[in-house]
Amino acid sequence: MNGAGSRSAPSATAETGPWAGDRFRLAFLAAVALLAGLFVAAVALGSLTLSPGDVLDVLTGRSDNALHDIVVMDLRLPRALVAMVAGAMLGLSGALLQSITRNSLAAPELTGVSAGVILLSVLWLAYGPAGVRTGRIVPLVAVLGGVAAGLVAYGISRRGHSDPLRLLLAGVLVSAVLQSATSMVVLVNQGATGGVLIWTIGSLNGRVWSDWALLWPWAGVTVLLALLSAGRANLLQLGDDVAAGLGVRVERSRIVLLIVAVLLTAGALAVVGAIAFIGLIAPHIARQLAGDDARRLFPLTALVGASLLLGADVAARVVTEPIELPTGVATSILGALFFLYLLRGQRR
Amino acid sequence: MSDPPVLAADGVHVAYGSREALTDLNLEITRGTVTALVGPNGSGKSTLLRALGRLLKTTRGTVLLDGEAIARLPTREVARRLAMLPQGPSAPGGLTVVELVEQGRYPHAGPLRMLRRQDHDAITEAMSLTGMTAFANRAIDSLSGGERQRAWIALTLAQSAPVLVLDEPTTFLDIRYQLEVLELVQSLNRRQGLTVAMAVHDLQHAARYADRIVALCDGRIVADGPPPAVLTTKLLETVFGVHASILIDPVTGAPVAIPHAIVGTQGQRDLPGSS
Amino acid sequence: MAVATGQRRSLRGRSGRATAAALALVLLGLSFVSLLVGYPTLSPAGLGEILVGGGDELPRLVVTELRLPRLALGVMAGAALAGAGVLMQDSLRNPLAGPELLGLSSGAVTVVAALTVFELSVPLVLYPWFALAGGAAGSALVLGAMAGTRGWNSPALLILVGAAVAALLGAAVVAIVRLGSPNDQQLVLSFLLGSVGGTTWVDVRVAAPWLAVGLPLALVAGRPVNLLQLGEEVAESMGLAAARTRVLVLVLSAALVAPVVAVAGAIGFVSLLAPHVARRLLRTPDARRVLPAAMLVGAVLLVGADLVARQLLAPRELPVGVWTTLIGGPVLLVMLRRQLGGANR
Repeated sequence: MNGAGSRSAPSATAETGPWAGDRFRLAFLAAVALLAGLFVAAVALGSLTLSPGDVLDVLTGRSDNALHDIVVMDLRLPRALVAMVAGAMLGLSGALLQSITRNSLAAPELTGVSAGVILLSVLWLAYGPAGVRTGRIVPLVAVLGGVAAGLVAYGISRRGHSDPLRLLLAGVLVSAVLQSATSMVVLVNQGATGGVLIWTIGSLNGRVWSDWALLWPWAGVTVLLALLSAGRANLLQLGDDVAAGLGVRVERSRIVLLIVAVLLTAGALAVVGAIAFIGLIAPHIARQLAGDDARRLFPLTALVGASLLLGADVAARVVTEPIELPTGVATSILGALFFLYLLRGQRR
Repeated sequence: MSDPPVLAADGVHVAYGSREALTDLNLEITRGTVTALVGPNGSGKSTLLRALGRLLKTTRGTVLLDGEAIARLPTREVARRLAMLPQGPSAPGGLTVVELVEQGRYPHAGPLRMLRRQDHDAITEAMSLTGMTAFANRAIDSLSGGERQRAWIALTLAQSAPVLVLDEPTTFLDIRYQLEVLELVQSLNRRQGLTVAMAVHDLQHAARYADRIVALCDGRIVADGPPPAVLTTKLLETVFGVHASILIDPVTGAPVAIPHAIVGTQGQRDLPGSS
Repeated sequence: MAVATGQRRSLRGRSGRATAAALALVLLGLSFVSLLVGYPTLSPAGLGEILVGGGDELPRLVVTELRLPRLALGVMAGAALAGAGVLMQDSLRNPLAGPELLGLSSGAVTVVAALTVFELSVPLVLYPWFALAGGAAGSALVLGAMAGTRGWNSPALLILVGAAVAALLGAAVVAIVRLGSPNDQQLVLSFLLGSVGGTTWVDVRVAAPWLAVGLPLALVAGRPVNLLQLGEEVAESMGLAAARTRVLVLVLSAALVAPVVAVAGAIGFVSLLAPHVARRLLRTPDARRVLPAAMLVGAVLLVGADLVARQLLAPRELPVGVWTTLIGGPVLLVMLRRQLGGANR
């Protein structure tokens, strides 16, 4: 018998509706503030540290220091923006997947999308028409690879109806197979694919305005879709039978949510490489603050994801001055910390 | 019985692969009654309920809701007229009661539309009928078994459907919570006029809380009627394989079956092995 | 979940022996072919000459110094990986358990990559110990995280936790490799995939003692593992110290995988696939019977895959791990589709 229960929700008043709840409001505002702070840090800190005043000057065009201009406008600003948006996308993707699979340990990396992104980038670098192998085209190609891989994994996992476990299994196996293929290509084309190793754990090094230009439209659409599907995710969380009893077309809803998750992941990873763990951890943190209602969870997860990736990026740049670690290392450390937390034994 | 049956199965067959789980099943549920489905494991109780609730497709025959073929009705329309609670439902533990119950308005409001006044009213009433108002903001994993089941029932009530279908609503609950849930179901029927069809494991529950018992065996209906007519020694022998005495509960007047021995090849008067 | 009774053994025994004989024959055939083909390709007569001590010098060297050790390692490694797979799957009651998902491979690879890149002067003979340490650490991480949610026998949980740990350790390897030279990158990449190319007798001598002890021990472990398959409580009530036995069995698995990884890298999917194939062929989950059969299957898989690795894109050679994954992955998916359908957690 669970009497007082190990976990009770905050004693807010019995209002109904998605935006009620003081705790959530507070958490949301705090997350926004944190993100803003991290953004300032991302732009100000680095091998050349600027004061907030300097930053403001550059942003408003009143700076007369050309070096400041370059560092902020050409290097740090686009990078910070990419980090925020990619982080938000990955966080949302994780939240979507976790509600589809009804398992809070599901992660976007497991759908095969990461492997697809990498494989296609590598194929393009190795065999793409010369002259077009620039950094601008690779993300476009990579997105296709990611989406294709995700859909293949889903297609494989269906057998009349989709099953969350088979989806995970298919994703992992598809990833393994694609990774093998990637290695094959790399081994055979050693010259062209040198930089790919970093891509496999993710790096935001060298993200410039052209990357941002590719990312933000994609992000705009997919993030909006994700937020709009919160209601559907809530219903699916109740189980196929209950959802069907409430009138939901379960299979169709699941496919739609999965496609949105795949699009989010592919878009983000195509620009930052196979960054891991953001999609796994951000929903966990957000869930502690917002509960399980997707209409609150999803927006908060987006903020948390943005903060996590931005924070990881700043740390990767700044902590081990003057060596710059790939951001993927920082997110992996986050992953390791998450595991320690799991080891301590957590309720599911 | 001038009232047309609100839910009916007409010549229904349901097969899982090559195995037929329901064979030529004909059943009519009368509006405003409580019908209990009983039968041993594998007799088809769950299958029948799921077919009635449109969770399963029939291989042959039709299920009718208010006289219309349920398979042809739009899904949301069915959800407005029939609410179903499957066996052992689960949801993320951190969900609060009110967040859970709100989902019941989907057939009326859809996931994107904001809740209107009538939705809020339905939610409040559903929680009040199930005694869950005080628990509104509690996480469902902090509730007792009975409270949690009542929260799920509140979800189905929020659908504002006149028919409630429950698949083994009391299995795995302690005795106290079993009674809690059944009393609630009975009061929903008596006071709100809900039609209830439920599969139950325990014959006593069926006898006491249902107007009508339908007994299933191997995918067919073998008995159908008010509890005293159905709960007979013969039924217990043929369907459940036990010799039993039927007594009358002194408090409620419902028939009570007390099993004595297994119907076996060694003869009819085997005494139970334990001492 | 039957432990074969005396009666059933006589009914199944025949087909079990027949299966083993068939597998052994296939293995012999493949071995023969693998000694023949290549650069230069020999005739059976020529091979025969060499094996009795004659023949021209170049072909003789090719056979005795290149192909034979490679074959020997392939057979041993295949058997070891398969045996480890059976032990892990049965003791954890999880059809997806294997060195890949349990962090065993990635842990071992991380340590060995570090040894290689940082050029720590450790004699090759000691590599398996380091691999064991790394693998044990990786597994401890996965199992510890799963224990926190009490779900060792949940395939879904294993996938999630296992893949995450593998990603974590993979990032560590990348970080390590990044600190090395481009040459190291190539090396480690091959290694990550698993390769028996370039195997010499030295490598075989490093791995052999471990496997000479480990493989027989694995066969003996069949009986306690059968009990573990029935679940912890049932096993305890039959007098088995379940928790302790499980740990020992897992350590044994690690000891089977470590020498293989130390010498040949993280060859994937053999451990996952061979047990399932063996169980299908024998139509029994009885670990005592599945173990030897799986070992044969594993050897066949690895030797076969290596043949493909050598010959398919000749003269270019790709690491055998590429082929075991490319082939093993889809096959595993097909085999497990039915088994895992509906088991939702």
